[in-house]
Amino acid sequence: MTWELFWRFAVVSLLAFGGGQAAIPLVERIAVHETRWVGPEDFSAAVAFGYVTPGPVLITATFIGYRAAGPLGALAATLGVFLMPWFLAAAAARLLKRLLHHRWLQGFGRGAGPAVVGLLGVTALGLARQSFVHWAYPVVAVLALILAFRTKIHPVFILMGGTLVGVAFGK
Amino acid sequence: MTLLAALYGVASELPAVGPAANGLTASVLGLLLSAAYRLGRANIERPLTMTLTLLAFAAGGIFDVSAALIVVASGLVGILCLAPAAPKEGDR
Repeated sequence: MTWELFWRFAVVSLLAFGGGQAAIPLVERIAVHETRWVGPEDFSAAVAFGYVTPGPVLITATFIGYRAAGPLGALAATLGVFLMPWFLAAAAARLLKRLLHHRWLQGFGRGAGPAVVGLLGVTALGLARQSFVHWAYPVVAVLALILAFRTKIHPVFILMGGTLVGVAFGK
Repeated sequence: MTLLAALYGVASELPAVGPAANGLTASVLGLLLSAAYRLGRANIERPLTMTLTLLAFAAGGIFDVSAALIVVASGLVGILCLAPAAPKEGDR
């Protein structure tokens, strides 16, 4: 399992066209649906902690790795998701700069980007199905969307607000 | 993060966590939709890119196709149809 955590997250890191948030649907499809390493609720918690903790949101890999296979799983997932970008940035910076301007890689990014948006839609639909058990939760989701989009409130406060609404309604 | 994951493992057994998790999930959903909007505005500019988005949504959501496969396939379409034109000999 640790090897699988490593290589699957390495693939995710290579396909994260558009930054860390663009990789979230890939992580969700792989960790929740394809391998069933974690359940949908664990995934939400992983993403929430990814927003809350400093650094890239892809640190969710560490959380998922731990939930799937303990400390060794956390290590494997973290190495998988960060090793390749680190290697490319550190050891192959010059080559990478030239590669990023290559028209094929630019074309690949232009094709992969829209697919990531479509997959984000699938992830969002799954989260809605899971959490909309009371009328308050669609309201929470819309409010979170507006706050994230229109204000500079840190995501941690948005997440805390949503959690408190859940506790208050008790459903 | 490892510590948080361990603490979550213990806390998720408590009965009060269910409603809190629903609220947390709903707010995560809002944050992801905002990310989707930003990414969409940057990436969906023409009918082909909109088609790729819809195809990815259908492939992932309805047909359960592997996410990595969807991204790679869409990227290959991008190489074929969306790559910038090769510089002409005279431009070099």
